[in-house]
Amino acid sequence: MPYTWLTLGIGYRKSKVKAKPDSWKVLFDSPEYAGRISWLSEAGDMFRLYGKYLGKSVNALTPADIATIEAMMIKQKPNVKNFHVDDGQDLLLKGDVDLVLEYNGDIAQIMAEDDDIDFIVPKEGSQLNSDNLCIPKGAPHPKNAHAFINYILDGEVDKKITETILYPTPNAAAKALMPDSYKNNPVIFPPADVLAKCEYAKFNPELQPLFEEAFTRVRAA
Amino acid sequence: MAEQDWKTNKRTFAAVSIPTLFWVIVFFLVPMAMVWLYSFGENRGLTEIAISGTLENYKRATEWLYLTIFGKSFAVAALVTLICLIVGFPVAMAITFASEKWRPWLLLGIMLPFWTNLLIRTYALMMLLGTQGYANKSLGALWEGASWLKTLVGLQPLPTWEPVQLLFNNFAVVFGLVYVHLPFMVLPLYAALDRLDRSLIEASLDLGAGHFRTIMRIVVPLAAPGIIAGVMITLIPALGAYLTPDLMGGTDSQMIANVIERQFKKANDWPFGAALSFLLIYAMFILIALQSMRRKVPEIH
Amino acid sequence: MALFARTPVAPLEYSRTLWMRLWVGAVMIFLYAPLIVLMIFSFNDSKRNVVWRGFTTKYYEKALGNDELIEALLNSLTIAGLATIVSLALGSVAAVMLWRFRFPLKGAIDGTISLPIIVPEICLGVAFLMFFSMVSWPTDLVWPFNLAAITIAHITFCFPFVTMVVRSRLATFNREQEEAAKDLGASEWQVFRDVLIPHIKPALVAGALLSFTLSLDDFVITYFTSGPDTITFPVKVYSMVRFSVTPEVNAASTLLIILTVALTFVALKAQGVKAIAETH
Repeated sequence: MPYTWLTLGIGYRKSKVKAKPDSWKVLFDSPEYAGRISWLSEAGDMFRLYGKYLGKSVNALTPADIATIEAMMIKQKPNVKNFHVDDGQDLLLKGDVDLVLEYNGDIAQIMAEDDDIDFIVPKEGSQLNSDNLCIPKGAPHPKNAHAFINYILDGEVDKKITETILYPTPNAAAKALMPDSYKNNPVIFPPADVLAKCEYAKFNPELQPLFEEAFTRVRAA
Repeated sequence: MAEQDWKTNKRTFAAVSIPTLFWVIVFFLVPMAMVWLYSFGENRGLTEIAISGTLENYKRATEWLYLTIFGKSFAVAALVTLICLIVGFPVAMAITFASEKWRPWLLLGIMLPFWTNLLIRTYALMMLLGTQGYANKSLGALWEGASWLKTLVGLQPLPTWEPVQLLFNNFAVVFGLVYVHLPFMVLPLYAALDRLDRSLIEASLDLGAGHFRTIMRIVVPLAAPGIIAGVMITLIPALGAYLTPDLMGGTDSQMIANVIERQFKKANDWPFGAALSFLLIYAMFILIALQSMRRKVPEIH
Repeated sequence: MALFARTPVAPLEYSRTLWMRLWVGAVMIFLYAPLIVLMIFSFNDSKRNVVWRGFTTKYYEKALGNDELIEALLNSLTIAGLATIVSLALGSVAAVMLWRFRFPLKGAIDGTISLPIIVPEICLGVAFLMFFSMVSWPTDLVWPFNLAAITIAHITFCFPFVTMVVRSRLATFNREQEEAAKDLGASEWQVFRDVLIPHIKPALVAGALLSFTLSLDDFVITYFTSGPDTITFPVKVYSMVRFSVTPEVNAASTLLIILTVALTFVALKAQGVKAIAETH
């Protein structure tokens, strides 16, 4: 059962960019903001988003695509400051970088503290993920697990979670309890036309080691 | 008195050896053997791994890509060890020749950070080194000062201060590793220097050698076992460092431990990760063999 | 300690020369400045860690009110305590075995015991991850038994250090004392308890301190062996950072640093600065 969903986009410091970074180009294929960019250190996400930039579906990458993307990444790497371990919002907040590839909720959290920060889903589209609650086959206490999931999905409970993490909730009951500033926040809930260009990413056990190895090569280059 | 043969006192021997051997075998050798076996396996589906005796993982692990990462990890670790030695040697000398009253406190001063959590120390360092951190602010202030001095003597002021990149690059990784590993170097150095016969140093000085020459020609050779112990004890953990390059490194700072971790936590390729782990362990063995070939392994304590 | 010597500096008083003092001072600043800045910023009234915005203790209230953080801290302390006790017993027994007896394969066994010190943390972590998943170690035990897996892993890398320290202390033991005790009718066990243990006591204190801090310090191995119910303090801090490093993390870290310092001083009280320094 999903309890939250998320999309990747660009978090940026408004005073430090010339124009809205509305394309993955600024992050992936341009020296414009050299040394002020931070990428996410998840190999799979990076390759899928590059695929999106090249106009491909995030779930239909081939080994040839991976090779193309790898070459592009190596070319762009000197302009990138670091690969963050999902703490990009901190780097942005502290001023270590000005553009960061991050999840919308993380940026929404810091936008509440610093109004010079904004988030955008680039025009090429992005990928969607969801955080799910699952019960593995053969789990020893499925009843307790169900009870727990029911608890998490309770409107009031999910409201409290959502208030902290500021990620979009798929739970209508919880969403109804949230203030308008949350419900109408375009960062948390991107408009329908933006979402239409995003795709839900699937885990691919064949491609995952290829992504990792290619990313290892990028890091070593 | 010589050691006792185990047969002469079997009951006591059993009492001391059974728990030790049990623990070492069950909770160390068996887990390590599993990694070793896995390194000859291959993925069959998402969660199944078959031990098929394949050498494919080793073949992949010895490809140029991974060899360069091993090489880079070794270079970083060697540089860290060298810096630790240069920074740590005078400190160990100072502790050795400090007064009775001060020596324990100096030692404690070196050891205390070592007892503070590695992760916490790394964050502390990162706070200091950030673009807006205090290290940059201090450097900026020095720059302003120099600029002001220049205007004072009628020269052009320096250009305005640009924050330097102290974090997220290879410099940061080396700096961070030196920071966390320095105590490892100082303590064995001190142990070796403390055992030194001081009359030799006095004799050298009396005979007209300078301090620097005495240190290079008398102290360093005599303290060699301690220096080697310190080098090994710093080099080995630095070679397997994981947190520091992960948190403080830039785009090209990955070390071999980071690659191993990703095989397990991200790529879901356990057999390949196992092969990389064992290559790293073999590298350690080679280092230790090299060291014991030079001389009998010195006692660290 | 005045910076400038009042009495003339003797040739061997290296620690009294100016440049030596400056060097040691610089190293101490290098070692302590980051920790001190971290502690100061735990009182900073701003969510951003870089600018000072005024004094507050609210992050301590937050950290102490964070049940998960406190639970993680308790887990860490429990694991460290258990690991220390077992490591001391196992480590001393192993040291006695290696010191006292001659037996087949001694060199190999000696080497194997000190191997966990050499094997990189990441490899040990991986090995335990595989081991506990292969033997299907139960994960639904009640506290504190659910901590057994991590504790076992910690004992494996802590006890060789105890063996090392105890063994070097045993090397200074005069075996005639043991003989004398036996001549006076003491049993093997009585000799161990009344003669050997008092002799190695400083090494045991040093070993305990070493094990406790090594266990409390460990992140990598625990990261690979911990489950949802068995989060330790460093693992919790690592995951907190993924949501932002707030001064709450600093406050929690400061508490841990204070705890470590307090422990050190308890050990010093028990044994004296010198003994600890000597055994390091």
